[in-house]
Amino acid sequence: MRRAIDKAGAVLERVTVALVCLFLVAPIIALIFMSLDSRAYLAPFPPPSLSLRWYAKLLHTDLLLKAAGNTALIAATATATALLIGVPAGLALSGGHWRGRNLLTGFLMSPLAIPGVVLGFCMLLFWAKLQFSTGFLRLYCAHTVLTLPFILRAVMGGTDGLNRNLASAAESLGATPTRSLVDITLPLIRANIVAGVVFAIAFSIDEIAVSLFLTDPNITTLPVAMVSLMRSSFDLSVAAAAVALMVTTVLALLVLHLIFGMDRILGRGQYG
Amino acid sequence: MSTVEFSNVCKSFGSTKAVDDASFFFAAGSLVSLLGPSGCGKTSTLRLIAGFERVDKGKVLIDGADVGALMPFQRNVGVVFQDYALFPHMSVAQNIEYGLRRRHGRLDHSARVREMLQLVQLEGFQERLPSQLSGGQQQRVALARALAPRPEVILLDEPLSALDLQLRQGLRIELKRILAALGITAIVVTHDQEEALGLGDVVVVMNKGRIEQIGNPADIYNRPKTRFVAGFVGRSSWLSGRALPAPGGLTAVCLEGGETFITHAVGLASGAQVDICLRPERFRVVEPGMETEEKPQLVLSGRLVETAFLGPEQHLAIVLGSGKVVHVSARVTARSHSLPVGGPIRVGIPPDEIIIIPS
Amino acid sequence: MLGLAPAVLLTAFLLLIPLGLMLHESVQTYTPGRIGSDEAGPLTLENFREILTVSYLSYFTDTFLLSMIAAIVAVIVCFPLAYRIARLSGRRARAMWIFFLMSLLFVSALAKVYAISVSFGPVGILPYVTRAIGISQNSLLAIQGVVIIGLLHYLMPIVTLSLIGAVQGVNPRLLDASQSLGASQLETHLLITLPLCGRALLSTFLFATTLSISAFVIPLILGRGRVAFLSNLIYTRFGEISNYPSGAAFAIVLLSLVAAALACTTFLTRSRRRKAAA
Repeated sequence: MRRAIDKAGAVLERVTVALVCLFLVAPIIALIFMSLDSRAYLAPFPPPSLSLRWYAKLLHTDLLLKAAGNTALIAATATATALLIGVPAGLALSGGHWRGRNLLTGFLMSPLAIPGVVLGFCMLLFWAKLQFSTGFLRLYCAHTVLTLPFILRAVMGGTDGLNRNLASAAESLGATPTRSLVDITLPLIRANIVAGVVFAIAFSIDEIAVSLFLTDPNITTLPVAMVSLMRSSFDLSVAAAAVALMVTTVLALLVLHLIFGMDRILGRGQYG
Repeated sequence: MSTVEFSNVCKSFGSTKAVDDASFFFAAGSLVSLLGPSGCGKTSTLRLIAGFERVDKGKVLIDGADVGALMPFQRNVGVVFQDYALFPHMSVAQNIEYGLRRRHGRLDHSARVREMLQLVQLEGFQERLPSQLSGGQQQRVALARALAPRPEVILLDEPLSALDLQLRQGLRIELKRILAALGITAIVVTHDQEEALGLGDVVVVMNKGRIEQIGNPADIYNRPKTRFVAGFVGRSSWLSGRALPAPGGLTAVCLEGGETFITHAVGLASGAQVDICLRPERFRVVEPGMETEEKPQLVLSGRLVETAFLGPEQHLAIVLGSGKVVHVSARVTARSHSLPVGGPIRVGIPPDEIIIIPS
Repeated sequence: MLGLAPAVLLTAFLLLIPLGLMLHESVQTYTPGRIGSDEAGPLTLENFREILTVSYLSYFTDTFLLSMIAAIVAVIVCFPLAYRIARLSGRRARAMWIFFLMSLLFVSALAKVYAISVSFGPVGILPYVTRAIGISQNSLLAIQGVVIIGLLHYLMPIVTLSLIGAVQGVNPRLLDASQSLGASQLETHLLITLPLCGRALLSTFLFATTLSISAFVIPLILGRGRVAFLSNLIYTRFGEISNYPSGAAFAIVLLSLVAAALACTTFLTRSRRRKAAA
């Protein structure tokens, strides 16, 4: 009896796992097929035959191409800035326990917790008050604040797993604190920082709720342009753009995974 | 090779006093064991010498110079960490070379690296990463790395505690050989009394941030000055008694059970309460008919309540008339082996081997 | 310490000041036809009072009901997967799974929403399903269903990843001990694993709810204008009728709700850690 229940439980577990995986993957495969649809309009799945017409159209849609360029530029500049200010900040936050450390960490991480729409809305009010700004400046600033938490988390996660005696050892061997940072700490948390950068870029190129408030007729980002196309037309070049966006992210993650191993970056837990 | 000196050093973390008014002077080239239970302040003492912590009060002097204001990298002090703290992204050779480059610039240090590898008997391992070494090998690399830049003093924090017992004993002898060969001033922190006594020429016993006693290993074991030292170093049984004047300027000690012995110990006020510490291995079982030994001894009689056979020796627990328990390790003889549990027994100890501590 | 200065200054300047401005905006008077508030007008709580009127109730019910349903389903169906991955012995297999989930997590949310829209929406399987149940594919229920599916797809990778951490925290020896004492696998699961993960399940559920009440693109695309979350309402206030004061008031309400949910999650995780440390 017990064994029968255990067996049924095991079968149920297997079925659930399989269904979850199917549910996670199937829509994405459907999207890839739809982006290869040879029909000239959005019509029921499955496509009768495949073609690259939507990708070709994508390459001739100036709006999307320009938006993709902006998105790449914003992601690159914002992540670079976040890296520049986030690494020192993360190192400072991971140096021991002092009053207000948790509060400050929470404050710097908060842009990820605040709903994007709220963030976008209040930033819009801010720039409106300043009465001077360009679309690029607004987006660049917003994306810097948004990507900073990824860098911080990466640095703090890296130093968390680091033996504190390593820095002490370097200092006892004659290295100044800066030297020990460059020789010991930074090389050892390199994988975490690279992962942080990849996550930050992946987040930035897909960000929509905040950006929606900050674009203007002169500048728009790829996701913002895609949303407006999705809502206004039944054009499948959006599907092609979505697949392109997806492939970019997956490739970046794959490289990261092959070099460093995603599971090592995440850790195994104490009974792993 | 330098002297190391503490003068009235205090260090607190929050409300706990890690080091409380500690003073000592270690001669150049001495091999010092810093012994005490965890939390006694020995590691804090080490960190104060290395410069990882700053003193609240008092002075730390290396080679006579006050180093209180110097950062760790400005002091020439080598450290071997408990977990070795080898740089995991550098090879053995790079680890050893690191201090040389920092202290002496980016010259060619390969000769010194080879010399250090030879010293710790790890030739041929220079290209390995720390993760490819065994615990004992890592320990040697840590030692070589700390020694390579020729520090004035080397500090070792529980250097053998991460190794298993067999390896530990072998490495202890090796460590002593290496440090003695270099003639460097070395301070070893340990909570293991056997390691402390075996390794150091000088042993410092610490408790609750205070230094209890400084002395050579035999002094610490045979002539402990405080109850803590006597209890922490070696095994012991405790009785209490009272000091009384005896003829010839000697002192008699009368135990709670009425037994009395005469001692050469000085400085005991007449009528003072004293604690009596008895080392188990100093006892002999007094067999019937052998009362008249060549030397006078303190004889205790009681009831044997427990025996444990340990191979070369035998552990006996004896309850005295006063109810106190005395532990004895006796050499195994044909007769002692057959001592009946529950039966009466008499054990003797020479008065000079009794430790008397004023309470 | 000095290293913190740029990050703190930047975040303070680009986050605290805007939040302060938004708070100020929310008590301004709205004059129809104007873009932004009337600076000269009197300060008022009218924007907040307006939120309590019945006409906005559907935004709140849609936001919370759909979010909680999605979060509950996500936690339940992801637990077996998380359990399986956490207990995998092979390093490679485990690494593959983590990579798979991380990719799904970071792959463009917009692409995923569009994928759901083409596979579960009107051009996907939706018409077949609604016909089978006997409702219109344009009925509110059908649209709500698609929104929940979108939320689920968004939540499941992160919920699984966070549950893996929880399962890893359970000492596997306890499970061996339970089975050696005669419990079946199912009993072990119900009596040992689930109670030990209980807090983690609850905090993951709260976290997932928080994530989905902040969702924006999912209801925007999949809601087809019929189902809208608070975040969509805020955007409409700004984008279509330019009622900034009202938008600000709604934003503050949403922010407070999210903050409260996050505080609960943090509290649960903290006490779990303290318990583990004890």
